[in-house]
Amino acid sequence: MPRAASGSEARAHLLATFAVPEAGSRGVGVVAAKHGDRREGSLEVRWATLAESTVVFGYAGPVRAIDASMLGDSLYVALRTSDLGFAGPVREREGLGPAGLRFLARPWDLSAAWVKDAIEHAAVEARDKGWRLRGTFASGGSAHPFTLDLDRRGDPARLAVARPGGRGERIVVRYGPTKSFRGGTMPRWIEWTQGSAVIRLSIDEYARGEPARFRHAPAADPEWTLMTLDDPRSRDLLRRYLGIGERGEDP
Amino acid sequence: MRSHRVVWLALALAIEIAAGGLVFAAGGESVREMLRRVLTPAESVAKVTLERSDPFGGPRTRERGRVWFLPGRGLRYRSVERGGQDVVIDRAKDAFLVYNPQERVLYRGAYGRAPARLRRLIAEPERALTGDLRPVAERRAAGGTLRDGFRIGGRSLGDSARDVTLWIAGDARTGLPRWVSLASETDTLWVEFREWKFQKAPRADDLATGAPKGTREEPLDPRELLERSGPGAKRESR
Repeated sequence: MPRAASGSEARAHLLATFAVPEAGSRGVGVVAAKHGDRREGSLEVRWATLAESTVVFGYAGPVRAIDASMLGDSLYVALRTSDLGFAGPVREREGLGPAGLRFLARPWDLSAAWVKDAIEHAAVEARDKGWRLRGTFASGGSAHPFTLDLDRRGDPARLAVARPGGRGERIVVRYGPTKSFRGGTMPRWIEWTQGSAVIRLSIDEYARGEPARFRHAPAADPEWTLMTLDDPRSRDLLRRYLGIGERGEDP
Repeated sequence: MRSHRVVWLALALAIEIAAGGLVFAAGGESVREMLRRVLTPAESVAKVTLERSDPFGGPRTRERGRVWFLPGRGLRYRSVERGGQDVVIDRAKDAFLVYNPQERVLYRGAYGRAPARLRRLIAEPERALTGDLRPVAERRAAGGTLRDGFRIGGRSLGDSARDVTLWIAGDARTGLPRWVSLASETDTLWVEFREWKFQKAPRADDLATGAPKGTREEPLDPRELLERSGPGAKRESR
């Protein structure tokens, strides 16, 4: 792997590879979760993205078990096999806000203006195995310090986003080595860590999507239990179900 | 992601859909006879292949497994894929079990927690032969070949499979159920039954999961998450 001659060159490589807006894409992968040393099983996922919308279907074997979509600021998650759904807007001042959640759902896509701007203005320094960018994400109504470690060439390796004021890490994203998929260059895997929860997406396929095939998640069935995300009980349940935080933590 | 709870429910739903398809296809006489041959023996066993389309145009996925059906007693589906689950509904033992080898956990619930359609199929298989949903003859591609079968309307599938259309076809050589297709606006699931075998007497051992002795057990009701902040009471299988 050729080493970037400078931090600026590494950053230029990063932005040229990962900050190019997509026309639309789809992917196939496997999500596996664990808490501490305990594995929590896995699901195959199929996703599609178009502009600010992302739709994910999770499958257990051949059966679709989870529908999830984020259309703009609106989040919808259906646990189909439990006849249970959650829907509502992501609050602007919660966590990284809706824009931040969209980014964290697709952390390989650095094309959002606020993300690209933060990377362009980040300080860069050399480290043993590559480069480190230090900057601040302005999202969710707050400033969130971040460090983005790059490998020797400038591909992303680890992103740590801190709480406002640098009060501990909110979330850490690790990136696997890159691979040329049909749809472009992507990490082979992405790993999100929050507290003791670790969720890893292993990417099997990444391709340009056909807009005609893109569809939003089907609406909830009228007979399901549909809970609003404004209900603290539903937020608590969803957090624990998805393993993305403990009670009282931001998702 | 607490996907283990999703997995067992999904597998239960898969069995329910496939079995429900068989039940509700019993409108035509030829279909009725096809079903009679697999629902009336003391025990029926088949290999199954489940294949699903990609909602966004990607490649299909396949899973292979085996189904056991003991009228009046229970039903079992075991995936033969690496790390595949084992699902058992046993009326006599008042048990609904899902063994997940990946987690090495056996999820246990009461028989009453199993999907209602499956419980009806187990308790009253003869009812499956008396339905009249007037299936429509239709030729569809299945297994790479056009096959003659019957399409069943979406709403007729009942509560657990709304907005799904179902199609069923028998094996041309044996006359036994061979193909079931379930299509929603998002994706399509094909189920292929192969190598049906019938026992003259039920073998209760066929309704035992493959969980090794000492496997940790947990309750399988996901709604307990609403009331509890931690994992459920744990015990070990015997």
